[in-house]
This record gives sequence, C-alpha cells and structure tokens, in this order.
Amino acid sequence: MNFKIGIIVLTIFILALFVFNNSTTFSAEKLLTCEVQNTPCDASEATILKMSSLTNAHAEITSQSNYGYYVCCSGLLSLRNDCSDDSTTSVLNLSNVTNAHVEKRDLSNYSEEVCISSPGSFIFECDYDNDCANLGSEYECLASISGDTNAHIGDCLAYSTKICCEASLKNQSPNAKFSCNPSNCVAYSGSADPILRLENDSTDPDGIDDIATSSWDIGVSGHELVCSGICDYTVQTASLPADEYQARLTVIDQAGVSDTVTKIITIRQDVIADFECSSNEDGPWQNCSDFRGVQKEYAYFKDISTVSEGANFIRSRTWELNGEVFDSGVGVDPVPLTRVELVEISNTVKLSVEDNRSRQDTVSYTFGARLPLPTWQEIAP
Amino acid sequence: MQIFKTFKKPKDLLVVFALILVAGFVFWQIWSYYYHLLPQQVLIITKRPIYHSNEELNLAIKNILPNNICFSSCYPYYLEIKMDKWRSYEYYEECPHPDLADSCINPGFAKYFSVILPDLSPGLHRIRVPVVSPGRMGEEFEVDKIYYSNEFIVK
Repeated sequence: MNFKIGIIVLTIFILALFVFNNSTTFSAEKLLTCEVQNTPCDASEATILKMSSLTNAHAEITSQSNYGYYVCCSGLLSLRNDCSDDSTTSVLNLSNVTNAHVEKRDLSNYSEEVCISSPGSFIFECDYDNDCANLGSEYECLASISGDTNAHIGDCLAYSTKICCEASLKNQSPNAKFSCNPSNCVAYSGSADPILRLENDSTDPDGIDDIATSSWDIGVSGHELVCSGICDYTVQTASLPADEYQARLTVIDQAGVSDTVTKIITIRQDVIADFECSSNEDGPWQNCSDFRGVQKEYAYFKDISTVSEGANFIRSRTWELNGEVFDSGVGVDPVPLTRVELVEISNTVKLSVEDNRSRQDTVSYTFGARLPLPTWQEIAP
Repeated sequence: MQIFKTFKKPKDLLVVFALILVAGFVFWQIWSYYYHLLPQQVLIITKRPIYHSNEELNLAIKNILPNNICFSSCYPYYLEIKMDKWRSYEYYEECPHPDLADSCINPGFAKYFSVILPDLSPGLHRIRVPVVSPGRMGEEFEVDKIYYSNEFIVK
C-alpha cells in the first residue's frame, strides 16, 4: 500500500516538475505591473492617468487634481508618463485635461495624449484586447474602456476592452571585437605555420545570441567570410602575398544594428625552398620540373632558396633522394651545391631548408632518368 | 652429228630452245618458292623469362639469314616495355663515338651477350635489336631491319 502511494507521489512530482519546467522555459518576463487604486501612487510608482471612479468614469491627466483614482504602474526604474521621451508610447487619448472621455490611441479625435515611458533601456508597446494575455504574457492591463472613442474608463474589470502595455529592453548595439592568434597578428605568406586565426570576441548587451551575423574581410577578393552568429576566421595565408592587410569584422544584431572593428594583420614573406638541376657541375642550370637525368650518372643540384623576411642566411640544408638523405649541411649558409648518382628510373629529390629566423620550408621535384647508352658484353655460349 | 639430223627444219631447233627456257623458268620458280619457305630470321632469345632491375640478362642471337648481320656500336639494342602498346625507354642520346657496324654474325652462326639491366619499371618487356645486313665491321651503321626478342617480365 505504501509502495503504491510512493509511486503515485513520485509520478505527480515528476509531472509537476515537467509542467513547471515548461512554463518557466517558455514564459516571457513581465516587467510592468499596474493597478488602479484610490490613493496616490507610491514614490516607486508612476501615475499614468487619473479617473473619477472604478467604472463608468471620466479621466484626467496627472497634473489635474479632481479625481481620486490613480492608474499606478511600477516595475521599472524611472517609469513616467512623459510623452516627450524617446521611449514613450501612447496609451490612449483624452478629450480634455480633465472630465474627459477617452479614445483609443490610434484615433485622432482627442488631443490630450496619455503616455507611458522610461528614459533609458526600455521601450513600450500598448494595444487593446479583451484579455491582455492574448497579446502575450508580458502584457499588463492598465485600465479598460467602454468603446473605441467617446468612451468611459474604468479599472480592468469594468469593460471588455482592456488597455494593455508591455515593457521590453530596448535593443542595444553589439560591440565588435576580435583578437589574433598568435597575438601579434603576424603570419607568413604561403605557409600555414603559424595558422593566423582571428578570434571573434564580439559582445552584445542584449546577449550574445542577439548577434545575427558576423562578416570578415581583409580587403582582398576571395578572402571574406560571412556566418550567422559568432564565428572566427582563419586567414588563408597560403594564398596571400606578403603585405599588411586591414582585417575588418562587422557584427550585426537581430535588429539590424551593426558595429565594425578593424585591425592590421601582417603577412611576412616566408622562406621559400627551391633548387635547380643540371647534368653538369657547372650547369647550365634548369628548372627541375623539366629536368631529365641519366641513370647511373650524377645529377647536380643548386639551392636557390630565398630567406624569410628579416632573415639573412640559410642555416641548414638537407637533401634527400627518394626518401634517403644524401647530403646535409649546417652553419652559416652551407654549400648550396650537391650531387647524387641517379639509380632509379624515377627520382624525387627533396630539399629542406631552415633560415636563421628558424623558418623552414621544403620543396621536392620528381623527374625521370633516361637509360644510359645500352651496352652488352659478348660471352661464351 | 646425228643429233642435228633429227632437226629436219630450223623451226625444230627454235622449239627446243623455247622448251629449255620454259623448263628453266619453272625450275627457278620452284626453287624460289622453297627457298622462301626456309626460315629467314634472326632469333633473339633471353635465357630466363623473368628478371629484376639491375640484374644480369643473358641473350642468345642466332643469324638464320643468308647474309651476315651486324649491330650498332652505339645502340645495339633498346629495351621496350608493354604499356598500351610497346614503348621504348628513353636513352641518353649522346654517343661518345661514331655509330659503326659491330659484333657481326655470319649466316647460321650465333653469339651470346650479357646485358646488365638498368632500373626498369615492372612489367612485360622485350628487346628491340636493329641490324644491318649484309654488313661489314667498322662501316657506318645504317639499320636495315629490326628484330625483337621474346617477351620477358621485369619484376
């Protein structure tokens, strides 16, 4: 028996948790709270308008002192009824400053406007419905009116047409910001070492999710990136010549407000390994892509590598033929000439260099070797 | 001269001559036919069917032509590989000496050669041998005909 009761209690608890969880997840926050009271509004409250009774009443603006019922709203700092604020929203129109009939705000028969406002970060929306909840859970009822115009006013229980208002945070501009990785924003042309990554550190006072798109460019066609939300950008250094570039990040929030930040990134000339080939020690030297050696004869190679920006000399060279080192040198500009006997019909020669700024590069060429002159030796049967 | 008495008229003598010519022509044709049936070939045979790169290959060449044959002193043979079709390897083209007829073989005779294979691509190979026939040792080599070895595999 106790076990069954336990199961039922547990089930109810889980269901309650589920319902509570759903309701808290999807309900919007109601910032505004209003009520009609027969005493002046507290200091923390704003008086929106005054009325003569709880129903079938006339209205007056707050500077008048003929009526004893106050529409008081609270929930926001600096809440007021000033129609000149940037954030102001009209609530309804009065036929006069006192003893007035009312009409909906989008009509233009009456000239005395009643507003709700709060200078700062909030904006207001007001509308009419028979139930403010129909407009959204964040809407609050201020009062009710008997018709569209020439109407009487009362508290929220008096008439079916309710005056409903909501306050929400005003959209704020996003702040574009990015940093480089590595932090000096320097990379090398034609190299992915190091990878120059621009990291998007943008923020938005309305929350990072308010950033709708991020756009990257460095002022070079083909080097742009646009993504939704926040994204980083990897500079394609492999296809950029050495130069300084202005990297620019623009972030746009959900309301279309944007912010842009720029930063100079530097692409330096990297060390470039290269060599030329010849069948003779003294040349002529030719591009190794077009070179054809001869099997069992020497092929000669001359290093024509260029050092990286800021470097003065090559400090190490390593030569490989078909994966095996056949020559290497370390020091201040080791001898750039070498040779190797070609033993295979297909030969891949690889040169690895490092300059005195520790920049490294390799290059390899594959070329065929012609057969040597055919010879035979006569032998006995 | 009994024999001439059998020819009663000069016309008979002409008939006999004509018969002799016809018989000679027929004989020549028969001889020529059978002569061409005889093998007229240069046989080039490798010792083994399978080799590896940089290995020694032994080659027998027998001349079954009616004339002697000679080989080039610069390019006595070319190695060929079967791709989509037979393709010759690319050889170094600068021969350091004049290209002369060399290593001649008389009709009915054979010679044996040792070849050190270079580094070759794996696959089916054969040896192409250009010859001059008839040839004289030391004369400038001008190819008359090309003969091929059996096919062999390089692994």
